[in-house]
Amino acid sequence: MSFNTLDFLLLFFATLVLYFLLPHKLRNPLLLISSYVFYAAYDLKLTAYLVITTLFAYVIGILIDRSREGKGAKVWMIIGVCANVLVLAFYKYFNFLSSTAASFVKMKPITLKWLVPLGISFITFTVISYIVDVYRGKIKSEKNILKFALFVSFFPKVVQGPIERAGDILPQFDVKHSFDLERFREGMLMAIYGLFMKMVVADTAAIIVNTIYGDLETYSGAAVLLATVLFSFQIYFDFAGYSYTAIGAAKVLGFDFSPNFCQPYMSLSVSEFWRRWHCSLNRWLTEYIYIPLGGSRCSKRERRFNVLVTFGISGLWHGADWGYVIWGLLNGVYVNIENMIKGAREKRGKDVKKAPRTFIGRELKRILTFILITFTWVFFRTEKLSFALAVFKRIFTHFRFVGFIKYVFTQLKAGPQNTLFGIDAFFGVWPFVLCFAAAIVVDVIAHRRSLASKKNIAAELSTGRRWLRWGLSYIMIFAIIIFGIYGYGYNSSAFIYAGF
Amino acid sequence: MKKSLKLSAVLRGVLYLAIFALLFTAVNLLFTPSHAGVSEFGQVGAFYKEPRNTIDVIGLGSCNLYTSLSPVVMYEKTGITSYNICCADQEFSTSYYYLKDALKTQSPKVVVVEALFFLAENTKKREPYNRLALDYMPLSLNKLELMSELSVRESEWMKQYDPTTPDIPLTFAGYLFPILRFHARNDFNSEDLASPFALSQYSYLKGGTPWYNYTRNDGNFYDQVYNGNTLNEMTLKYIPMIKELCDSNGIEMIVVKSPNYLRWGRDDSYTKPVRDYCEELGIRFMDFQLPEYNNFDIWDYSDHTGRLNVYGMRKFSETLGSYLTENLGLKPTALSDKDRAAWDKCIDFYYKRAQEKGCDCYQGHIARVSSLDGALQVRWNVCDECESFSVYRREGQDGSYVLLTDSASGETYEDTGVVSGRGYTYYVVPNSGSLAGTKSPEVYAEYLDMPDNFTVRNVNGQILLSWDAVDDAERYVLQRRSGKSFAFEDLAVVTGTSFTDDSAVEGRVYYYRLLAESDDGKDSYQSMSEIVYELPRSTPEITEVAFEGGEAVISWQPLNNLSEIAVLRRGPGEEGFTCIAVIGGDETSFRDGNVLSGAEYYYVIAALDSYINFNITSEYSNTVSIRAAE
Repeated sequence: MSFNTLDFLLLFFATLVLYFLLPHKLRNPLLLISSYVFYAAYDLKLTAYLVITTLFAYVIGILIDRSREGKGAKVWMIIGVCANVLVLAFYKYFNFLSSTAASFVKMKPITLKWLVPLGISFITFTVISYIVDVYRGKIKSEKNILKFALFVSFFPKVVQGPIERAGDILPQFDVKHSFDLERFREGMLMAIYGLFMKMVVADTAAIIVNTIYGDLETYSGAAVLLATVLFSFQIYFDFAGYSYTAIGAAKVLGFDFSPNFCQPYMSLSVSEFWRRWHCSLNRWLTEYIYIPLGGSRCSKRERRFNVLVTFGISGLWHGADWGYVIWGLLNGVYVNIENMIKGAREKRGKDVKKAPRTFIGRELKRILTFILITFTWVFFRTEKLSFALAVFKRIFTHFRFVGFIKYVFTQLKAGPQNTLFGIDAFFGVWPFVLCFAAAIVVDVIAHRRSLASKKNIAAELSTGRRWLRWGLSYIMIFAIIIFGIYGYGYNSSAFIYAGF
Repeated sequence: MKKSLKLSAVLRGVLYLAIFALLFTAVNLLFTPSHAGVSEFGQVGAFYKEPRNTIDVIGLGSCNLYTSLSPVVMYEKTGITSYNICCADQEFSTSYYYLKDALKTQSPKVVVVEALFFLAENTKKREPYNRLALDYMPLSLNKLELMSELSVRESEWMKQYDPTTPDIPLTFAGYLFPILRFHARNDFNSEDLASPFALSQYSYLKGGTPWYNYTRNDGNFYDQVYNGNTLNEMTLKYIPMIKELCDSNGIEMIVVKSPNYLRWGRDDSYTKPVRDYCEELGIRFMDFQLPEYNNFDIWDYSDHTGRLNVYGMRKFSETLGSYLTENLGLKPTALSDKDRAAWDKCIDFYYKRAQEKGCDCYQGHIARVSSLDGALQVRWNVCDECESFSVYRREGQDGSYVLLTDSASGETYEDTGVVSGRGYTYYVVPNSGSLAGTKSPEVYAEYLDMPDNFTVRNVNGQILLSWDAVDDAERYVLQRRSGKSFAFEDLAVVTGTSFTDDSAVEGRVYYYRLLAESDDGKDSYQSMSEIVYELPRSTPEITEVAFEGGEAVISWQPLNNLSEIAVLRRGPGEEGFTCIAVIGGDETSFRDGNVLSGAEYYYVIAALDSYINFNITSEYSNTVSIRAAE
């Protein structure tokens, strides 16, 4: 089941009520059952993957701890990591690697058709981080199998993260959480906002993007550009929405997850973007790929190589196609270029940590960063290089801005029951524009608050101004109910990252 | 302090949820389309506005009942109050729960259940029809049970056709909270804003929906082919439940077959299973298509869909009302002055609405004047205690009237003294009864001869239509209906006497209608030719027959149509051909393995169109024969 389904709402509220009614020793088993029900709702058979992966990591952890004397620990760590990577590679990349190899030797590729376990990428990274952390001595192996199974399968994060460190999460399962009204409010506000981002903003944007990208030849370059820009927001609101919902749901139950998205489009550089976007993944990649490769503690050339490898792996992790790899590598190139420029400026005695002083300077940097990132999203969205090139070609050779504007105004004037890029020209467009603008405003406010080290908006609202809190929650809930993309004809499982 | 904090938190939580529930209810009401609340698609919600215990008869059924039984007419004629709790394609599960719910506020003496859905092909639960059934019913345990039944059937059935069909819980939720379905509406308009609670507007027509399309139907009724339909599972489950509910509440249950010549056909084959089943359960069954009940003129009382038009509905309602009072001894409930006044208002509304729609339904008035073959037929609305009418006519719209007859009985008079191309004005006067001596409004009509010799021929795939000219006809309107659609559509308007239909698709069945027309500057007058049941279909041709591998194999040229193919065989000792298989229209061969060694078999094929209740076949192909190998 997905977060934006009736089934999940029922499961979550049932779990919530029982959680605070049951004695502490029964709470973890309850969460474990709920987590497995959540996972099994996707596909009962693939629950076996979750069970096996959990047991395997559990045993490996214990074996590492027992083999600290000598090289046994390292061997077990390598076995643990490689086994998980191989399983991930097999499930996710076999067909990709097979078709790539076949294209070189000009043979028919071997294609295997099977269901990929849901959240396999997240689960794999979670258990790898556990295994490595145990090996590094950061944490001791978890002896309680139920607690460990819960850590791996905990339903708010199992499918799309955040990818949490075992050291951060496992201790929280020992805490006797009591119902805290402020936490409840904060968590619910975050969860509702997450659903709003996903179901209202991201999913409507998806319809527009899919309509235009699905029929490039029909639309002008200006329309394709609109779709390209919209996709940047679609993927952000989709994934960030899921994260907010996950973090909010966990908070309601008394658990703290780390923030996963920190207003990434407010970034002034690509490097900053990657500190704000999918923070948990980037933390994982930094700790378990970039730093072990040498990180920044090596020659500049090696550092640049490490960056490219890390981003390349990030691309590959996102999808089994060259489009993702190119996306990843492009971002790596950006980061390397920025580092080179930063290095050059440092040499000239400039203070590189300081943001531009003028408003225009800052906004130009923000816009430039956005443009650079949006450019890479094209490869991410289209997955295939040829399609990405077709998108760019359309934008640059058939822009037709005047025609695009005329078309938009004609459709808007035609009003309800006419469509504009796949959504109703009145009842689809205007709510979307309003909700989109509202989400942007929230991001801007959240960014300003974070710069001023203030509490996040949900935390702020949870403690005061009841009328505002209630009003905003009602507005968001009814926006979801009325404008959300769900129900007949809408596939509720279409979170973008759900395929990972 | 802590306790009071907890209590205040709980109270705030309850308040939050209460406000949410209020807003959610309002949003549900706002977004559920209100336009269907009192439209022809059932007036279910309005039933609950009726004052308690004022309804004598409840009607349950599909469109066939709510276009047949007019509670207003029944009240006007007999004083019996009734209400049709019906919606389109209403199934018996819905009828059962409607009745169960209705009994909370009403104590009817009779329940009339329409028979059409006894045999309807099983039960295609479609969301729009379920919505009509559910969205206007107030929330109650009965509604929840009905919702559950319909959700299960819809989800199960629709998944065959659309894998994205929501599962049962979401389907159920969509019915419980219509906003979940209607949130994606793009026809939201000021009507919805103006009347958020208009789902149950008061209904003046009490669930009866006259079809004001009174044009003569085409008489194109298909002969029933009893195709072996049996009573469907909803019938077998819910009719006994409805009977039990009626019995336990002292209510007489009647199953009626209201006239519908399209659905029921002319013979008894489709009716017999229904009648037999009712007999088995001890339920009174009334077949209103039988002459003993009504003398229904199928030409004038039905429309092109086979349902009764507004005049047929009046007749049916009067007849049923008379039957209930005279045969069942049903005595109307004594209404209060207020309730009586409300019903009288409904009568006014009924007549005014009919006038707006161009139908004169007032007693003693001329309903219409229409061209027959060689005559103008004047039809009037009967009035109380009047057994005969006087009919007056003048030529054109000036001049003096002459009395054509002073003893026209029934409802019609055929004026054969008319000349094609000339106009005539008529009025009628009841000779006795409550309106004796009252002159009706005048009605003008022009007479046109019917076009003679209207022929349709298929010559090498071209459809040639021709006819004789009609004096004073200014043009001819050709209409066409393809086999599977009910309504005729305009094909061409010509001034000549022939037409080639080059838009006909090879192999389809077409029906043509020819209307001669003239104008008087204000209105058009038509006469209609006899409908030609022509099958301009290329008969298939068997090209090969052989015996291979123990099977007789026949092959034919492919057909360019959507029909099926019926394969018929005559075996040894058999007299006629029997259909042994019906296969897809894109097949080009058939293997018959059910043959006896050494026997000779004859085969023909025919193109087959399957309709709701019957089949139409083309002419048989050429006959081929084969002897099965020893």
